[in-house]
Amino acid sequence: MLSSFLPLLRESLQCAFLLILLSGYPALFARRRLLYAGTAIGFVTGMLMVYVPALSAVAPGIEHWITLRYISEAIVLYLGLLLMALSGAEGAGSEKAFPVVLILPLGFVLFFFEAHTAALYIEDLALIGSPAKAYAGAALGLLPGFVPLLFIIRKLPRLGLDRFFSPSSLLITVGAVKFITGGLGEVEDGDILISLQQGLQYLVEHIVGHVQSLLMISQHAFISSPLSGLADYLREERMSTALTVAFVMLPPVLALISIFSRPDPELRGIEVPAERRLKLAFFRREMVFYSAPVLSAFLLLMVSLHAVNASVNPLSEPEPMPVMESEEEAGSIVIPLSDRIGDFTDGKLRKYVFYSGNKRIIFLAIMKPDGTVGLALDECEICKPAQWNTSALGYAQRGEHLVCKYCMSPIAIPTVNEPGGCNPIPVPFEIDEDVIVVRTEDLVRVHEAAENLEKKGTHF
Amino acid sequence: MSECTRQQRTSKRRARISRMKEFRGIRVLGHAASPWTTAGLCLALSAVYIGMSFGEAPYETFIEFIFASAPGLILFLSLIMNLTAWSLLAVFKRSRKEVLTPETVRSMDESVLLPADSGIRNIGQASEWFERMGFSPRPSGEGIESRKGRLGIVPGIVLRTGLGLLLLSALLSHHMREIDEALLVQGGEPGLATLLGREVVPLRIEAGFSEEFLDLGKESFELHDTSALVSVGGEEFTVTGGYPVKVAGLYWRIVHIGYMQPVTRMKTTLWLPLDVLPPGRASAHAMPNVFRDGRVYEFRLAPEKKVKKGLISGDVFNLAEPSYVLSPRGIRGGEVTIRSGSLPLSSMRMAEFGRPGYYVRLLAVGDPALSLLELGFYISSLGVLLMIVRLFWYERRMAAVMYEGRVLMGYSEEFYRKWGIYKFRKWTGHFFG
Repeated sequence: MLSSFLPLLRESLQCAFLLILLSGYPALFARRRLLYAGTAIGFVTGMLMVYVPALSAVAPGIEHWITLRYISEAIVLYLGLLLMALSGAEGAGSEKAFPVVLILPLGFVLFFFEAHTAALYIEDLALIGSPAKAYAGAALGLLPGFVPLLFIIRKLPRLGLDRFFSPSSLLITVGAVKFITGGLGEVEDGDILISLQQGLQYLVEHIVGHVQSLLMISQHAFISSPLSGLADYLREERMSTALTVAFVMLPPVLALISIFSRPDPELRGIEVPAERRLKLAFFRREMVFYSAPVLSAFLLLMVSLHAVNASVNPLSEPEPMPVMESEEEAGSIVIPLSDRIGDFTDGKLRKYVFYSGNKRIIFLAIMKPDGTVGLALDECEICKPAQWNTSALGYAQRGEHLVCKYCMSPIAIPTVNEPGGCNPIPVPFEIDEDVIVVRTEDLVRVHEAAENLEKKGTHF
Repeated sequence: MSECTRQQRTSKRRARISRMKEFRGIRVLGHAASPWTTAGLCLALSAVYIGMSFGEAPYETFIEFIFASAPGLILFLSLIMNLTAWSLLAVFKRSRKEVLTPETVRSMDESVLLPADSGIRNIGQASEWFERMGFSPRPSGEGIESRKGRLGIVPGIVLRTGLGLLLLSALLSHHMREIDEALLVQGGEPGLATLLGREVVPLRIEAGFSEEFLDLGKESFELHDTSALVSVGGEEFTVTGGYPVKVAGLYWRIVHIGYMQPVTRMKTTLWLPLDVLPPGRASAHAMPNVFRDGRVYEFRLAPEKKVKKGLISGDVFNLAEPSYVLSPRGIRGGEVTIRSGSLPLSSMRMAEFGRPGYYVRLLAVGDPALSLLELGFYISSLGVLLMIVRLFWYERRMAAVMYEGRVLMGYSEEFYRKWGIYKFRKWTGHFFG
């Protein structure tokens, strides 16, 4: 029951917060029923798309569903920018009326996607456990989220949100909050910023490749091509990251520029100094009030980007897969280059564990960019973590490098199999058609030699 | 008198009609050239791309959409026209002489009506003050006007022109480009090839391979001197792996290079194109005419020696005179190293491996839009660089007219309006005491 109660409570609280923010804005308070109707329609439609077979049959798959949600969130964010461009500068004197045509769709997207995903989640819970508990938990989760809203609706105008928001900054704030809180974490494993960055990476790579092909200067593995340095630079992940940052930050940054680029009022015609000071103080206070929510949205997005930046290119370390001597080739471990659990051409690090008597030997394998394979022990000749820090032994992958987890030295993947330095200790192996063959005798011998090395250790 | 009045009326009507026509033309151009239209078109294209991203190969599908479907072509051509019209309108607006009136001055970012005791009582004195402030005044309508940074539109025009050319030539190229590729060997087989109806004979191939190449990974291997001297219809020219050369109406470029290994047995010679570079890569061939065992043989470059310097160690290859490790796939221990020159593989098989030569894969492209594409690419690249200058290259406009016996002054800045207003207030502050 708790597993359906908590997610629905969280989602309903998030939605209620946005409803308070929106309906507390005077221009929207008068039309709040339209907003609530939109939310209700979104909620019901989202649920129906799961529970009505005819609708669920035409509904897109969960990956497409997530993409649609991302698009809706980006539209909300950018609608704010559009309103700002249409109404001129932010702040006093800017357009305070909220376009009526946007109210219902805005209410709709506030809970539509979450309701759909929550319904899928509850349905799954009902299938694997008690349906009554799952549905009761969900209903109980919704109540504490939305019911308090009924009691404070009438008091919302007292918040005086028009001192802080213009329609555009309101939409930018709602968009930023949706960016961070959108979706149901229990089901949707992803982030709009990661998806956006990967989508932009794909697009940039293809555009650069297309232009190179049009100009007849396509790149080659080893023949120097004109402008290849520029093309490589544009293709790098940092370019798509920069574009992602620009895409996400553009609305709040432009809104802030718009707010702060308003000149102080003309005071030359005012004779009384106190009146001049009052007018200036009023103007500046208004500017601070107006900038507060946009600045908050900016900071929220900044935090989100920072979190994503850490997860876009994380240290990835696979769990070692147990391997045994092959029955067909005695004395050898045979690792297929491609099988049902993956293909070495993906360039990802793989780890294997082989038990020889009481010895546990972990080794790694990876396909290099030139298509050859590198295979080595999951340790180097230098680093020797202390007993309390054995989890720092070995390597993880970060993008195009392996990283020694102890001294954090980046190891170029093409140099795996090369001994020395902090490189992993090479193990002899052979490629036989589509399999890697490692002789257990070689593996044990290299492992024993590594154990006998007097490692110096580096840091700590 | 009445005749004169009729003539005046007619000329006024004609002038009004002419003004209206001009006005309508500008309005149409204004809509076509609007950045809003650009944004709308880009948004429409983005929406289409996002829609296609739900399917397989979205980029390729999108390219087909914009270059080969009617709605895509309409959007694409509209974007090109919009960029062109935008530049035209920008030039028109900057070159237009606006008649200065008190209303136009008041509509500027900031305007002040100078007090009677300010020391500037007429346009002549205002003109002197303009010059003192570094603005060169010229008469306009009822007053004077000075503009700085009028050419600030140049970066935008360069960028849009480049983009327009690039987009248009990409479209033309998509429909008109002819492509052909062939493998050419110097002194081996195939000795000639026909590319887009032209017979090509390779005369000399140069690769610039190093005799002592230390393999430290993919990044360290790059050939800068790949070239081939070829003859097309009696005309000899050099093709490289760099920029394409235009000869005989086609563009030529080397897109790949490798070793061509001759293998002879029983008077039968096979020419094997070996794709063994960068070192470490294998090239696999079955040689049914030489060995009738049905096996696939793998060729891999053999290092000459191994070197270790400090923490760095690597294999040294002689890429100019390559040696191979040849191994029959599926048989362990059957490896044989083939040194440069002719020698038997094994006593059993007695195959001769001749001295390997180079082969190149030559790309020939017939594309009337390629030069336009290059031009568009370089102009738009220049435009992108110039847009940085644009941040400091913008129009500043100061104007003055007489209004109710006093001087009305106005000031506008294209960008940084706030700082422009402050600047103008500072300049004119002392007039108010």
